[in-house]
Amino acid sequence: MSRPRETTRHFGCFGATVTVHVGGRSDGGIEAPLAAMLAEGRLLDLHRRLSRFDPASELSLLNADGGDVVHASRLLRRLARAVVQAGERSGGLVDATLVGALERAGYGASRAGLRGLAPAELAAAAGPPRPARAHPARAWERIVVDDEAGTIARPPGLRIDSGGLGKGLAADLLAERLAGHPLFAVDCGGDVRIGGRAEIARRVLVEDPAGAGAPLHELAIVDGAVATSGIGRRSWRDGRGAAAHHLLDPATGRPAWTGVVQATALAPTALEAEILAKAALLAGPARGRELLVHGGVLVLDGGCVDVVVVERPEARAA
Amino acid sequence: MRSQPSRKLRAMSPEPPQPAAAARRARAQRIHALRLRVVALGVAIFLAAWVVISVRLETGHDPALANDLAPVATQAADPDTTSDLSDDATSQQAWPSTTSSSEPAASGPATVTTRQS
Repeated sequence: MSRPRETTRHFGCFGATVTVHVGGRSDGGIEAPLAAMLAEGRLLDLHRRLSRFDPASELSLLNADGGDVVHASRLLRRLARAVVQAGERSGGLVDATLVGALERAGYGASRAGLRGLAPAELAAAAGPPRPARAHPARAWERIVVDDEAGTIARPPGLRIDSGGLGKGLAADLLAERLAGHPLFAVDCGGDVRIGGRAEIARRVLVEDPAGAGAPLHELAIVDGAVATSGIGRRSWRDGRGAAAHHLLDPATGRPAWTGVVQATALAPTALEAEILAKAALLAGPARGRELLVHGGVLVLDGGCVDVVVVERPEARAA
Repeated sequence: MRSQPSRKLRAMSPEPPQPAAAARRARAQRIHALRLRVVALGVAIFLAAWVVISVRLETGHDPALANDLAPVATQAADPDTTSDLSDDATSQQAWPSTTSSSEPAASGPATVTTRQS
């Protein structure tokens, strides 16, 4: 079977650049250019509905609702379920209910288009490395999704952040739509989902945290996902001039300095890859390696690169 | 004295052939035939175009969806391009959609880059 021609679209979404690759005609007869265009529209719609920074988004309306049980769309229920899954899978390290702490740390508005701090600035600000810990309240455990009733129950005032989970979820939702094409890849700002009926391996490069120079590593994925989480891109100086970033230690509500500055995780889905990447970074080098059960790459604060290779049929580290 | 035929006798005699009327009839016939040909040709051209377009659409070759559609901007699908387009300095509002199509190549599908999100 010859490789079909591939169409690529790049656009701004989720505060990052999103890229969609689609190759060939779907089994439903949809050509790649049309599928890529529809994918762009779908992703922009998902961003609009899940943005924490848009007071009119579905997510913001949920967060602002004073009731303990709120009727919610299927998309919002899926996000809420992802929040619970992230907490369970990471032992509470990936906690998407820390919106208040994020705002106090200086992440109250979108950082789209803003540069993060230089690696040297972050390294100078980092305290002694210490693994992050779950918040004792584990608020995410009190989120209950009822698909039959179409509701989300949670303590009033408990707010949810879509963040990286939203990107991973969006990549997976698009993958469901593009599964009938011979080739596709959805890159939601680093959370990448790859697949297609043709089952052709696609090269994936892991970017250096400094954002320059040669890639750190190369992967090959036929059907699966990869996500990268790090402290560099969304970092800033807070009101007191201290360096801060968006990956918080749930136990302290402060930016986590664990000795890992970037983690890349492979997984069957982009949502799971996103959860594992964040969890590996927050857990620190030793436990983080164990969390990369499908393989991945850790970059330590000294610049050391640790590649975790696990052979999997759906995704493999080259 | 020369005699003149009466009005009555002249009216009852057969009409002589009128050359002008015959010419008008022949011209009308030519115009009619010409109109028929023009209409038939128009219908034939319309039907031919309709059949060609229908066959193309039915077989999944809609030209509006073809890959040779002029893109907004064309980028080579390689890792360098992906990295360049993720430049943090570019705001979301300033990013237009860009589209590219790549020919099948032996090197495999377009490379993607995973980076901090």
